[in-house]
Amino acid sequence: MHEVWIVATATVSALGESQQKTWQKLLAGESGISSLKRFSTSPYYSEIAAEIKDLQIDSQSGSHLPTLLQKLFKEFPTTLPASCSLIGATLKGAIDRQENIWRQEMMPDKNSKALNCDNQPPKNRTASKPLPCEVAAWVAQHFELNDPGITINAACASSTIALTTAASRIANGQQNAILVWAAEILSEFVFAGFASLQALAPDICRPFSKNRNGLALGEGAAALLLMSAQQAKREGYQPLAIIKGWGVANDAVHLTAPAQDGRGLIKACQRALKRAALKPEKIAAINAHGTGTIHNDTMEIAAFAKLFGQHKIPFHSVKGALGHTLGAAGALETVVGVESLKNQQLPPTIGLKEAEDEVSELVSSEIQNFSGNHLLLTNSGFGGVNAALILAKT
Amino acid sequence: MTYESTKKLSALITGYGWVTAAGSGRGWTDGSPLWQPGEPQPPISVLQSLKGGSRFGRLDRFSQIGVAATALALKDAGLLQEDDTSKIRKEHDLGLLCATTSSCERTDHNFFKTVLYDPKLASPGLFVYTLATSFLGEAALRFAIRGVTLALTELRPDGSEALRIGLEQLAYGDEEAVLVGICNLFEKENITAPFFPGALFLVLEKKLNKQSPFHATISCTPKESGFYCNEQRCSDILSLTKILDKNSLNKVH
Repeated sequence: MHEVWIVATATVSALGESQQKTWQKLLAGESGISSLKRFSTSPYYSEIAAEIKDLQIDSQSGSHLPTLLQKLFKEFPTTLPASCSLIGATLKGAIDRQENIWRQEMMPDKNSKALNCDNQPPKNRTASKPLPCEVAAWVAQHFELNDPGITINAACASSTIALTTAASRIANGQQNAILVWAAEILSEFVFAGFASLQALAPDICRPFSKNRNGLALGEGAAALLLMSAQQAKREGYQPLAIIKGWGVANDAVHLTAPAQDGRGLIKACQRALKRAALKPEKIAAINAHGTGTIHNDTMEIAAFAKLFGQHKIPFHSVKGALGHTLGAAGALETVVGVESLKNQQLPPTIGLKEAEDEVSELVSSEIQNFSGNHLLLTNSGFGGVNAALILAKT
Repeated sequence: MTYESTKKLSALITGYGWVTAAGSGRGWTDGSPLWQPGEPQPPISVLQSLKGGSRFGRLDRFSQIGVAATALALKDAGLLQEDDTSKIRKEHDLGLLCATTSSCERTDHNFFKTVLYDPKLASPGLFVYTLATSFLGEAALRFAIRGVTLALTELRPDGSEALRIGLEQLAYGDEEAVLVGICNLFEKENITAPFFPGALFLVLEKKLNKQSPFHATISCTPKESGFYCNEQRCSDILSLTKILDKNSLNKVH
């Protein structure tokens, strides 16, 4: 087995266009969630999301996504190692472009009113499909690669599973270097959908709080360059963190709700621990999924209690600050996890107010310092999917 | 200097099932082509026979053809009871990987129509099927699929990457068996042959057991694109099924 190093990272989030800005603002307890301006929220009971304020539409594609990717790769190595391949993650890709196509087709007379957004739809554009795999082609084009690689869709664990797939390929000698990218934009399509499920927080996203009442959507992107230790050393890269373990499991219980006993998440974490050859007590801290919905957070609390027993492992969620970036969440949170391990700090869980009794000593609205070498990251999603990743300090 | 493995990844194909415009079935065909233009019709009797079958109507069409094709493949592999398809024959770690180009674009469009009609009346029942993985969740809860479940969105909907990841999962993952396939339902018939709409899934297993006679072997190496099915070269799932079909392979015990 080859050691898997994370050697370069980048993020763009509602808190900032660089990894350091995002990290510093997370530590400062700031939130990127505010009133949404991209489209009108007047028909909905919630108006909040974590929006990247100055994200412009790309005139050529008709989507905000290429602009987001350009911002992401601005701080990333311009050339990738030889034989580097791509694994991406996005749920709805350039869905904003598709929205505008549908609006034009279905409501041409109401188009300008229906759009009610800060940018007009592009003109003279053919109505080709904005498929998620098309986004991969944009990434490949940026790095002048012929092969767009693969794009994984596994609901809100998409980018975590992109990372587990990449880690497995490198660890088992299938490949030496893989760039994992993930990106998600805010769209009315998704906002209306979560509103229809009554899953949006009306005012504040409060992960793990007794009075939590929903999630806040977010947009963002992350990129992580993974390499085998041998290849990284040869090319002069230093490790930012090591991916030690990973696991994926399905609840097989319900289409949208997580198994309340946390069975799938427990299994995913156990697989990750086994692969990392670690006992649960060796985990020093956890970056939880922590969406702020009643069912997700209850499930995670149950799973962590079963996994760690009397060992009190501090954990946090970034979703009260960065929003839920869906397919990009796992990659964004992994980059935060790299910073956490390096600095031995968990950022505050923004929005937390009176934590659930079982975890009142483990989750905090303040910075939590910890001491240890291993950090667990978890994500879960629709369709019963769960994924876990264990990072080790270098 | 390279560290890439030269390990050959291999598995047994113990079942396959399909739902296309040509019809639906499992194991092998009578020699007619599996793929043809037109709208695939979900096999109602197959869906009704499954756990929660009376409520299959709430699934979108993309999910219906996907779930039906996975059921047929599992049945062909002997992993679903022949007389009662609501019961899986044995509990084992099973994964489900699906390649798609269309994803659930038809459902996406239908959902967004409800948003445009009145945002306050946007349909939650449609929204839950606006993920490419929704049908994987439906299949998971019906067939106790507790391993990895993911969709790969591909520009070229031939299933080659899903097949490769399936073989990797069997070699290095936690699964004993994986369902690997293609599911596409395009909004408009703008896709040309051989990429017609429909769903086709293969059951790949690590090793032979008493309940698992097999159709063929499948293998690949990290450095080579494409696969070998019973030592015959194939590039993807589409060409692989042509080999299976051409030979009209009966299962080998």
